[in-house]
Amino acid sequence: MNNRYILQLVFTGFLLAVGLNRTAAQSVAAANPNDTIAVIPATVQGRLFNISTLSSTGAVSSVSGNALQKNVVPNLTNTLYGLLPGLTVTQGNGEPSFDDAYLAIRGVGSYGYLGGAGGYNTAKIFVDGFETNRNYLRSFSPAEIESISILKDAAALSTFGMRGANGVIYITTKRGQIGKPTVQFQARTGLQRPTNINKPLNAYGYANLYNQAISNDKGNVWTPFYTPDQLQAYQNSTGVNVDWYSEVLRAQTPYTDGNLSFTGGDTTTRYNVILNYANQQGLYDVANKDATSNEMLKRYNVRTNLDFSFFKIFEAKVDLGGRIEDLKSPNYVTSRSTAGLWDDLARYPSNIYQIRDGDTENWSGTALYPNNPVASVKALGWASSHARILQGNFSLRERLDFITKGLFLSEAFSINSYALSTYNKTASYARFFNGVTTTTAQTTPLRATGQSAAGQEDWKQGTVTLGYQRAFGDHAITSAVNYHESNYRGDGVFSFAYHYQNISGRANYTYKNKYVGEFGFSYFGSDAYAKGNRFGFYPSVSAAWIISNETFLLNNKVVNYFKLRASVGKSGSADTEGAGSPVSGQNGRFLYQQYYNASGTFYMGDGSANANNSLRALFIANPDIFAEQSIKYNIGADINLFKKLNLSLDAYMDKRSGILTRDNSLSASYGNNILIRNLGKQTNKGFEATASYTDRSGKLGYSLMGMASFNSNTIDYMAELATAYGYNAVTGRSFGTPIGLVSNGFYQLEDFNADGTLKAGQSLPQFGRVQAGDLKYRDLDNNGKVDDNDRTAIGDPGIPKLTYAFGANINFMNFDLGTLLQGAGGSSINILNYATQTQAFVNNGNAYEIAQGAWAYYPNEGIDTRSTATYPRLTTATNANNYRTSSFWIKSGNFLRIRNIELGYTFSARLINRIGLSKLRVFVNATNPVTWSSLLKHHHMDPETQSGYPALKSYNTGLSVTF
Amino acid sequence: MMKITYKKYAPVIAAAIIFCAAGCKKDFLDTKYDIYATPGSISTDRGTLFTFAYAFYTPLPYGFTSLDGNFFAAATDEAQRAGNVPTGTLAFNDGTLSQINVPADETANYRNFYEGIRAANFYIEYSKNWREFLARNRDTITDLNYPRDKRLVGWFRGEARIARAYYYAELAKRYGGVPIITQTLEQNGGQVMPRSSYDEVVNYIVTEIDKYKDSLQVNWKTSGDKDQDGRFAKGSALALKARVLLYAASPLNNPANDVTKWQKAAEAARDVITTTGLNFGLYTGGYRNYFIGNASITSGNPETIMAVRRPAANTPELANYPISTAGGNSGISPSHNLVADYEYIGAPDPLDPYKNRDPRLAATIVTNGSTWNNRVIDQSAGGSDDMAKSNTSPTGYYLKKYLTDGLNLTNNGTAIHSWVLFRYAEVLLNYAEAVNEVYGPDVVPAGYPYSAKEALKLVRDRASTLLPAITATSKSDFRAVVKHERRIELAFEDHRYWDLLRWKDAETILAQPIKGVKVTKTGTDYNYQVVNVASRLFKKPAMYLFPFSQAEMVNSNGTLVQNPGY
Repeated sequence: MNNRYILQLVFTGFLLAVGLNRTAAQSVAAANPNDTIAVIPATVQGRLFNISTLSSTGAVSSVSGNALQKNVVPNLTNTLYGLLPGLTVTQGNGEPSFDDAYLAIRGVGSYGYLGGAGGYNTAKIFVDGFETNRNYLRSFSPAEIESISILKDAAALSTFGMRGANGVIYITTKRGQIGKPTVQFQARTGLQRPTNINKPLNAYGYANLYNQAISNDKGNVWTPFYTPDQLQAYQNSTGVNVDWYSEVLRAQTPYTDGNLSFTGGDTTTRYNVILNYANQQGLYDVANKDATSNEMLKRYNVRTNLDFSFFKIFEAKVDLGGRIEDLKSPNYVTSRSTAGLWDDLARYPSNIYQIRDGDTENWSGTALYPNNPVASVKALGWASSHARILQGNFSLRERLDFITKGLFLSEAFSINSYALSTYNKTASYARFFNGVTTTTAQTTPLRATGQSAAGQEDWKQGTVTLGYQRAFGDHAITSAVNYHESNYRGDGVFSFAYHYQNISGRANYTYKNKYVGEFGFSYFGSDAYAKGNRFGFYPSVSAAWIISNETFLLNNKVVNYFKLRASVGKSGSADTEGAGSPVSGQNGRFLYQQYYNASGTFYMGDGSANANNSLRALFIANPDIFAEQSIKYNIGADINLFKKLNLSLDAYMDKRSGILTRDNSLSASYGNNILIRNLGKQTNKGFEATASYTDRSGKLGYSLMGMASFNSNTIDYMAELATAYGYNAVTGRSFGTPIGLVSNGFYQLEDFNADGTLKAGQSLPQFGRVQAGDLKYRDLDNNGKVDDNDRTAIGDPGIPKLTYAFGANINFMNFDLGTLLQGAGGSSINILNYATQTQAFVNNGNAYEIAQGAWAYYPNEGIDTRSTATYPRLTTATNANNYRTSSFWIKSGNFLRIRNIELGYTFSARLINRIGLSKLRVFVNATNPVTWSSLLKHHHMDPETQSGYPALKSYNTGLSVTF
Repeated sequence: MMKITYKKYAPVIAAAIIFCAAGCKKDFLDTKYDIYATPGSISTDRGTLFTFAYAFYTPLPYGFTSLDGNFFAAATDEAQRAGNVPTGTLAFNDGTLSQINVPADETANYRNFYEGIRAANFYIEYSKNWREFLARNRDTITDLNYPRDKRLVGWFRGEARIARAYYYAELAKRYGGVPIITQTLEQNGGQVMPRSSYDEVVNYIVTEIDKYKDSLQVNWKTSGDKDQDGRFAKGSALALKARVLLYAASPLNNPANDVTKWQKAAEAARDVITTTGLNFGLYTGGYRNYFIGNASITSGNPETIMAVRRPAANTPELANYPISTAGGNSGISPSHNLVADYEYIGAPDPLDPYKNRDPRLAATIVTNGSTWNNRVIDQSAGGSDDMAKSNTSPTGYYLKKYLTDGLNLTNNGTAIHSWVLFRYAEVLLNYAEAVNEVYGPDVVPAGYPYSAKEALKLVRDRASTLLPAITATSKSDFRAVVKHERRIELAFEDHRYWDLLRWKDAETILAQPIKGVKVTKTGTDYNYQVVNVASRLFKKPAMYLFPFSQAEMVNSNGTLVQNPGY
């Protein structure tokens, strides 16, 4: 069988085929050669033991590692789109090594996760039974992965205790199988380009609008800043007009990856060795040489998974997974990322200066726009960082059949180490404008700035498991209890240890292959809480009924398989940032402990003000603080009809309580003290549905799949500071719902008296004086004033409520064609947050196409957009009335993308066996090629990556060979 | 066979047991987070007797940024904000103060004053064993710092009481009666104290001051610990008491005009003047100079009773220099209402209304034609400060008091700005007001140093001896004189609003429009036309007290009773 992915689901005597076979001989016969379609695996992955699909009572969605190969990207999180119902995957930016997608299992169950770069992305990640983090997840190669499962309900999460409330991403790596040695090789190469770049207006467009803006600011009197001559020069390209994006970026950039695996083994020893290499170049148009460098990520993965069987009762596993990640980029970095350059590109107008000052070699730059974007990539040298990651898992399992049949004991130990260091070669340049330097920066030659440590972490974990598995006649029992101890230590803000202990167990009982009951528990202790208050007990019960095994359905021609599932149970969440927590990065830990810190300064002295730091309580210690609690309910059904159509349905509710929350109900007579308590409550509901249909007709095999996940949450209580009116409140709404004013068109000239004041009868806005062309808002409380008390919900949360995907795989003769489309609905985007693109001229910024719809009325200049305006009147200043969260700026975040299309050709075995190959497939692939979105269409913003380094699409070719 | 397997297995099970035993260490979950001080670490750090004391000082008000980042004056008839009036100021100007429209600065004040009270309560509890704590782990005989530590901490114990009283005074002048909290509220979300009455709060403040006034340094400036100046002392405690009793005797809080209340106020003010060792006096270096640089905080200055210090900065200049000065934002624009109230010290000049005026006008307000920031201010059309330009002063005046002239803001020039909480001139005016109400303007009561008129004259003479003589002989005429003198002498010092409230004059004065001058030029002569700049509204009787915020009302679960009219 080797590494070939053969799935056979054996259900009590009959074969329900989801035939999947990658050998050349069989691939033509298989309907679904590419694994893109979610298949029902033979076993369901789980903690302590895997269990047959039939006996599983939990809500788990899985995907094989091979299916992840369809998205040609270096970051594992970007391969997960549309494959796992219940997992919301939102694309981030495309910068190499900073391109993590946002992952959430079953939406946002709790508002309590506000801190940290990951936002509320707090699904826990387990690899081969041990917890890891996103540093480890990101750089996985799909080639290392057997399967990824998303554990969603109480049954699947029963043993996770305080790690379980937000779901678990459970990864199993590939192991060797008994068989002759097999070597497999795959190489892919392609070109990446941005999915979208929202370019600002050129110099002519910018200057034209600027004239309007400055005139608006001077009492609507036409007082242009740019003369007609200057405008003319911009138009006929004799004026300064630099397209910074084209100057700094290349149109496309190469991506290459390859992997080589050796696998095989016999009854005593099995091995699977995988080597992987990925090379991603950045978008910058700069040569890779001594003094400059494009951004580039080079990653090397090695994984050795070994299995030994000896002395009849022992099975040992030695798994080593290591990576080296080298990242290099132009030395215009903050925390290793070049994000700042993208802000400059978006913000610097086209007409500020030429790239070089006059006819000299000097770089242009001014005090207002000091960082010439071209010089940022070419004149500062380069920065590099090196990450080294190693996970080593060792386990030994003893079959104790000599005590009683089916009993086993196993011990396992895991170490995970991560170290990051940096090394830079830096230079700087003097900024010139019209022949004189404009800042204090000097030109300095390239020099090395040494190596420095930039972060490290290590993670030691151990487990001991005692299990019992046996079937007697109609009865089958699978059970295990486990002790798990975890010791994480990092540096930086996490300069303290994270320890937890978990005693957990599961027992699954199946009767006559019809009735299944499972009980699970976790007795979990976290070091985040006060002594005596550290442990929580998290039980769960679940059941399944395989109706299709009842006599009345047995051998039914239509219904081949029909299972109902239900589960209920408790889980928890420790180490989460409390909403309103006084210490960012503390992750809500040690809130039981009273701390004092310097806060505020008192000055005294004779004729002077000498500073004296004061000390005060950081917060009010709360000895009762404990982990957030989740009660999850799930019902589901798994159905197979006509042996061709698979359906899986789940509906769930998650009741959260005890979410760490600042108690705003504390009277102000407590002073500024902050009390965090387990106060918050939230309800999250939703459903998931997947369907796949597999069939063949003659030489044409095809399969279709679709999935949809919907969830909606309500904040039931969050100790919100009392608002003036109920409709101002966040409580009672979904987490992240935008609260703002309701926009009601523009003020027109007729709304004002001659002296510029608003005519009587209109509600007076409280955000400064308004003039014609400003945004008008509804006065919801009808008190004659428009203020923050008129805010209400004006859209959906940013995280989509609905994610869906559909796709198809077709094979005909030796060709195969597969595609997957994924979309999202029920999300809103506040484009005001992308101020550089949406707030024209503010803070000496740029102007974009959106500003061309501005309200303006200068009849003598032939400008009159009073009836057609789509944007408030322009201004060069900040404007508290217009640039304020309101329904005007809320846009739909809905989209549909083609995530991938792949066309492959598999050479016939006859042909290639002669040259010693058992399989040869070549393919072309497009990843992320097309997006449909109203935001993209109307505002040129990617619906998932609105600003910064753009998300990427790519066109690739590749081949895979099995020897 | 079975035996062999078992033997092989034995070491493994042993290893597992050892592994578990090693892992199951009882203290495995006892991790620590050691970035901040803990009760354990502070218990060995006697420096905390100082750092916890500084904590009850940090919430002291700093009037340069008390409302919307600027002086409180724009809420009164002293000034109008240039440009867009920020929302907090607007709530006062438009009379729209309400439970759901409490300026953010006042919501913060309420919290901060209670923060100061909490810090003081904490200090009183924390420092109970201070003598033993200070002596711990040191040689009390050879350690030269020990006597000084003992001295300074001993005073902090008394200062905590006075600081607490000060915050209650600030709360009472805004809200009337407030909850009196005299120990740290332990974590207990439900516990909300009810309001005490205004008189109870006043009584509490006075009792505390009487009890602890002798546990304080008498006067830091004349002591051996000059470097500690800025802390409460006996002088500031007595000045606080005098002010609180004056407020309590005023019409707002003394509707029956109980003369014994005035009597108490007079005595309290007298004590500041006559108590041995205080030695306060009026600064002789000039009225304008008193408010700039470090003049008010040097030990040689007898006028300052207490001042809040800050490092050199340019926030007030950035906010209030004319917009035409690079970096300036016009900010507080003094009203013509105020300018008109400055007296003449000579014959009025028909061409220049600002000539021959009480010199405090030129020290307080930048008028047209005067030199400011190295230029002559010309607000006529086409002039350097043309009023038609956006964000110029709407009134034709700019603020001068407290501002250093000619700071280079683009070069980030800075100056010291100290906020004087109590100064001797105010005490003299408090004295004059209270003594007049009991004895009339001309009587020197037995045991008192001055008559009301004499005290007032000290203040006026310091400004200029050319000011017209006070001719009032009746209580009511002299009352008007004191009110006028406070308006002039204490302009922009955050007294005006509260004076108008306590006199119950706010409903008329704060409802009058703000006036300004429109400046035009004919030849080289300026013409000034007085115009209405902004209308004002004072919602009576509600606005005589602040509303508690909606959040505070909801959080109190009905314990807190809202002030009338909100």
